[in-house]
Amino acid sequence: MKVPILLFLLLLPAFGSSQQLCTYTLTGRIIDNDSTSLPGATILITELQNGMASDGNGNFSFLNLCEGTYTIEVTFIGYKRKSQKVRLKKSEVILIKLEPDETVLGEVVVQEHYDHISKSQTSVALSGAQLESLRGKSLGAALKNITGVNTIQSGPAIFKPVIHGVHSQRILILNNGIRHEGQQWGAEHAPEIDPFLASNIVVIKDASAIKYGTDALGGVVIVNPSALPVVPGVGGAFHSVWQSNGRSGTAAGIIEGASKKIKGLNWRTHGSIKKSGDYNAPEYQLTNTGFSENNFSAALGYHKNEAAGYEIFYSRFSSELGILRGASVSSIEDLRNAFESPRPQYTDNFSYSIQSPRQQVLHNLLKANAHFHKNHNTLSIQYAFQQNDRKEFDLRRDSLNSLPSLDLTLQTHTLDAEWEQELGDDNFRCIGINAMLQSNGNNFGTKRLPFVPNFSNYSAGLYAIQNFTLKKWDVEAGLRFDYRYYAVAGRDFSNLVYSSNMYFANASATFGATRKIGNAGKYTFGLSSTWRPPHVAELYSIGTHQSAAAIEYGFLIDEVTTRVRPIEEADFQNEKAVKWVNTYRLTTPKTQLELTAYANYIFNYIYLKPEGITRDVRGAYPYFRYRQTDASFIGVDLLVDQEITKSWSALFKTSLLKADDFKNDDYLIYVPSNRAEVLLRYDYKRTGTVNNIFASAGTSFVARQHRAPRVVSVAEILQANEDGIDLFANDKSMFDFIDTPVGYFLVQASMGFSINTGKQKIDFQLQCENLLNERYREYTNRMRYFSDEIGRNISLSLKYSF
Amino acid sequence: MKNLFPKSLFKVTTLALLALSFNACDEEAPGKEDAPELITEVRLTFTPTGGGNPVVVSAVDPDGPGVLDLIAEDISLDAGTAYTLSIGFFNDLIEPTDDGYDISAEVLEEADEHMLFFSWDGGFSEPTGNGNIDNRNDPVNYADEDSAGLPLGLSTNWITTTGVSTGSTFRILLKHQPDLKTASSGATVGETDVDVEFTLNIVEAN
Repeated sequence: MKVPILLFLLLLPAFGSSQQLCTYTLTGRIIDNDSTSLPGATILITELQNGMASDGNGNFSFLNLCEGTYTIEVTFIGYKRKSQKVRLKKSEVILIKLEPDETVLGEVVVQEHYDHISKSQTSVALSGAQLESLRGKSLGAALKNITGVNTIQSGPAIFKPVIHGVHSQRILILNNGIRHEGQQWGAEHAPEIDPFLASNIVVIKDASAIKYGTDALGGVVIVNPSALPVVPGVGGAFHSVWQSNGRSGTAAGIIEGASKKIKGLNWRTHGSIKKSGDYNAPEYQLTNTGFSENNFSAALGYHKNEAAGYEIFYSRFSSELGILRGASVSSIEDLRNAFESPRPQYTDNFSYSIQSPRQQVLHNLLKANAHFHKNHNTLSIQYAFQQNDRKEFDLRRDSLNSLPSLDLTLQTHTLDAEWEQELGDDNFRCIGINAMLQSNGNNFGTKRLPFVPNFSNYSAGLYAIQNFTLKKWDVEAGLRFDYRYYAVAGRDFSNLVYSSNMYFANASATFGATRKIGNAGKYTFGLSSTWRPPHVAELYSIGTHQSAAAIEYGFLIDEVTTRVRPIEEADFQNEKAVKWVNTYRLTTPKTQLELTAYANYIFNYIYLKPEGITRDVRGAYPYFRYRQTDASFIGVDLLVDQEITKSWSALFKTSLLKADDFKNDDYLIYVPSNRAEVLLRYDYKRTGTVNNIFASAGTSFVARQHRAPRVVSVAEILQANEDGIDLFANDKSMFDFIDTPVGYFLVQASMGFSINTGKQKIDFQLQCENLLNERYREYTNRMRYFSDEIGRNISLSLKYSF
Repeated sequence: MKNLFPKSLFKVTTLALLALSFNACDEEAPGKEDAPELITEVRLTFTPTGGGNPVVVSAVDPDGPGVLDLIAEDISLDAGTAYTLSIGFFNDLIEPTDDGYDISAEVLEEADEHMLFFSWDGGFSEPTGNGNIDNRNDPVNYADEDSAGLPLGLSTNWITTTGVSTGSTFRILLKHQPDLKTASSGATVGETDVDVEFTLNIVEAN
């Protein structure tokens, strides 16, 4: 898929003849046979050698055209090239329908072998103008704009994506085709990915993403950079974003090109620097919430026409993140003090400095891939090496403050191979293998007992997917088998060494089908059964983890002795999910509607269960053990984008979710509450050097989470402790220390325009979030115990493309 | 499908997979960390200022981060007697010769960011009141101070009541107050390092 910046490679001085009256606009939408919009298709006016890519909704728009006849040529991977004449006497709107290309391996395709986002999957993409307006945000924060996707937050800068109510281990993130491997187990560990490079971000809401491996119980996030450029020459873009809240600045640049001398040789490099100081809530500063991030990547590709392509890619993500200093608590009495304090402890004046508690994360990725094509067959092989270094610094005694409390290095080798065969009728079959070798090591020198042990993880998977047409239905069926072996060695509470080896194996299956309903509608359903082996942290973790006033014990920690048990003695079952997703899509030139209803049952769902209270020298603590239950996630996502007049359009989205622990008849914690958003947009359809002028305003409403666990206050825990009562002995249902925050309304507005001078283009955008500077707290932000959310934020974004 | 891709690539793939499946061996454990923040014992030594045998009582958490509760012994002091209380913090899960065994020494070293607070509901005639956990300005007789002249509390002075009593409570709270410790910073400021409650009995002097 192409980012708008790529087009500027194709731009030639077409606007030279300005004597004529050249004020017409040609706008349109690219769709496929099923009326599905095609984002990222390339549209070229051959007479002008002027090209662009369709945006996230398949729309495109050429401005400043003169009267005359033009040839519009549209190309898109997997579809037949389409050429169409348009006579322009006034501004026109056209709909271009592309036919699927059965011999998919045309000239264009050789570019980059993309994973099929298969037709019978429920997927939603962020791309084009929508993605552009989210530049400068972290991956998690950007994903929040997709209906059905929320986040678990740890302050203003740490976002973890939540798909249909599940997160962390149950979501798979594919970064540039590679399964992203970081320390996903921590709720405050955000994915180490710079979304600046992405030209589209796809969320697959089915669990049917079978080719990507185990763990995708909730869904898959796919972060794709655009394909390397084809047309010889050099192009690029520079982007900068400023934000008032946090006084942050972001600078990013991409330069890319294709060689004139060696046909098929192309390259890209990107870098971004972000720096933010303390954010502020409406009434106070959020001390120590700043961050700084530096990212870099480089790619080199060589594509022999129709036969083979090779690519090598390297990226480096480096960030340092502050955590609200007032969130540092080490006993439940501290926690009570924090609840009762009108503003967080340690609140200070604005600063860019980042102190403890903080995180330092470095993620390196090196990837090499090759793909070969012949007749209707494609073979792709990719190897990747990832190294994730995570250091976490807590507020410690002076002599220890400079030492990380957690210092982990995770190295992962992955090898994927896939053979795909096109079968005609737009069907395909594929067989693939995935192999992974991973090692996690505690780096010595933390002066703390390791929270998670060292481990090695050897995984292998084999899958097959077949796609066929059955009457009016497009059907897809897949089967997968996985094996995982762990070798674990750690230290228990008394610093004694333990070690253990174990393996897990299981099968997954998916079935999906899709059909047209009427001319513009499409219905898709998917049913899948998947599983997930436990993460080592869920089995062995012990102690307290960054800013959580609770002790956690892994599944294998003995209840009485606190020693580690062999897994055979613990009644452990693999987590298994059955997810059913139904989607109806309607795409007409004026309306886009997408309605998804789903039910996800996760059996042997691993979660932290309150089990009792223990007393140590810091006082009484509730402790939690990793336990298993059966959980259900049932919900609806709806998106409607309606053009009202030529200039006005309205967008409505909502996501509703009901999650339960149906085994214990209890609620789950941190389940996103129901929410809705309305946005009204005005596009001033003007031609000339200044164009793409728009303004929009909207409001979002987030309801209170009423379906939340009971409240057991700190006072009750302390009182019971004093009275010698074990509060959790008889009632082990989930609890929270405080009530869920009340619902809230937020207002946002934005405006923007572009200056287009032929080969160069400047995009300008001004946005304001939380316009009314509302005080509120979000249930899924772990900092809600300590502080309000951030107040008004004005951001200014400038992008220069050439 | 023949010649679709070079045979060498297939071999590499196969070999790599074989390597993955047969290379699985035992894992090496992390190195032994001292864990100098782990306190498993709070030891109170009441030394009669007029001479005599000191009274030593401990509160012990037998398994540190484990699930077993901390158990505090009862304190029994002679009535009408002046004592100096010195407090020690130890990690009994490691050897006394290991680094990080005596945490009170570290607290003393970083006196300017630590402070001990006390509360009681009987048993002492001096200081008066119920201690300074609820109110920083209430009297506690600190016998040590940090470099800024602010109290620390590893050493304190006490006089028991002349009458006997049983079942009073005596609570010790150690707060870590980096950059926060001032002449007025109270027991709700900073993070809790130690929070232990003892039962206090005052008995007839022999």
